[in-house]
Amino acid sequence: MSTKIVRRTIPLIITFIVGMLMIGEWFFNVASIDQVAESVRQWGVLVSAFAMGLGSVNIVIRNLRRIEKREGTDWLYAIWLLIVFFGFVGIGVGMGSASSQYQYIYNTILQPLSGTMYPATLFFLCSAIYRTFRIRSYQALLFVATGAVILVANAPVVAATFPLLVATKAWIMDVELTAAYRAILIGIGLGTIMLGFRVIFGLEQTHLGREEGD
Amino acid sequence: MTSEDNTIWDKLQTIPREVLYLLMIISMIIPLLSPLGLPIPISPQTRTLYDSLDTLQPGDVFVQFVDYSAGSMSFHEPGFIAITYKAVNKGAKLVMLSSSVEGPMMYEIVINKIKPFLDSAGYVYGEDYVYLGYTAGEETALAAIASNIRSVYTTDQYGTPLDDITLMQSVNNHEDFTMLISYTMGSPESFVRQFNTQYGVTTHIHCGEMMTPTILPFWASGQITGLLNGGVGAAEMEVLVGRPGDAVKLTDVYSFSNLIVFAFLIIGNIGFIMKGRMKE
Repeated sequence: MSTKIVRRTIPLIITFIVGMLMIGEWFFNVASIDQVAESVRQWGVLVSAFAMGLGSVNIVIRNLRRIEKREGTDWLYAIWLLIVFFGFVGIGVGMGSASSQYQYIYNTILQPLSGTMYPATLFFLCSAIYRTFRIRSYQALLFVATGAVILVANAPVVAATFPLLVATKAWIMDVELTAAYRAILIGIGLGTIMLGFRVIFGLEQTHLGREEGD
Repeated sequence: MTSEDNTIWDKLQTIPREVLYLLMIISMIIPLLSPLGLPIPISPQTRTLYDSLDTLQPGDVFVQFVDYSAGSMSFHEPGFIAITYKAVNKGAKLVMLSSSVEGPMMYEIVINKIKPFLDSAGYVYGEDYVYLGYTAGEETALAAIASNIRSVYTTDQYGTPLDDITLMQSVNNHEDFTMLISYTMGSPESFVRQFNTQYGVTTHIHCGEMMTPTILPFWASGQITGLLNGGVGAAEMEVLVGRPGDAVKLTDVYSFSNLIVFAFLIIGNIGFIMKGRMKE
């Protein structure tokens, strides 16, 4: 019983109070509510920072377990991950992230790797467009034609040469896309409001984890 | 494979991906080695950003969220440089901060590139520009920054207390922000929600091309004043501020690579349609 109070009832009460507080701050201009809400936001930032630390510890524990089990070849990557992890953390914490040593390893390792990964997806996207954009029906024709207009109109040389294509692209983006995406956004907004109320009033409890025996 | 499956129309549909990759690489290398200087039309989204920057007055506080990472550095950095150039020319004070982990590293890299320009404009760190560093918390942190920047930051990136920084003595919350921009690959909507919707702060976004369709409705509604569309947007801004740089060099690459993908799209469909007719 006491476990249920600690794991369910108290978190639900906290959720309710914090939720009502933030809603109150939004709708009413009361200085005392504003002050408390500001403190809650500060706690939110602190909790997020703590969560990052917790995530780092979790990465270390999971990879240590993987190395201990030595299944397949994953454990070799786990060793490498931990070497890089502690290398970055050691230099970053010991010498500071503004130190030349930290900046050197960042600029010569992480930056080029990260800079390569994102553009590399371009090649796969191009290949996927070539292989999958087939006019199999009238609906597919519309889809391919829209994609093609956006694609070529995004090429500055085409945009400068064929103003009509730019106007067509602008119409697609401003009318078709905006209308469709607004509908999605309004749907998401209404869903978020509903979910927010369900969480505040304790009807939605998945964020608290599973109950024992579930 | 029968001879029926090995016609020219089949071949058009099954060009090896290596050929496509090779052509893409060539289309990127040639314009980089020998820029063609193709014209760059200015989109209305970039124009509104430029016009908004043009309204900055000396002493206005322009907040820049350096939220990009190494992956998008190729186009975010030129955008940042061009916009900073414009803001400095207007005499605005620059408050820079990051809500993404890689932000501080990106700041160090880009500030070293524009330091000579800032020095020549007489900009002094702490008086005319400041970098507050990274804060965790994402949208919660943005909400906290909007209501009281000191609830999130007590020092700048280098450990100087905010109250000891001349520029920060008059900057406390959203009321002191003239306008802001986020250079991000993440969720630009959070800036709209926390700064524009709640407090009416003029908000600009420089995001990746993939994010642009999702953020356009906010530009159309006026919740975002200016929107830079990835590398093309950065090139447009470079043209507008009269300082063609890395982004302009890359526009030839965008032109060629987009046209190659378009050509393959057409080739694949010609093969598909003709093969279908042949079967009939």
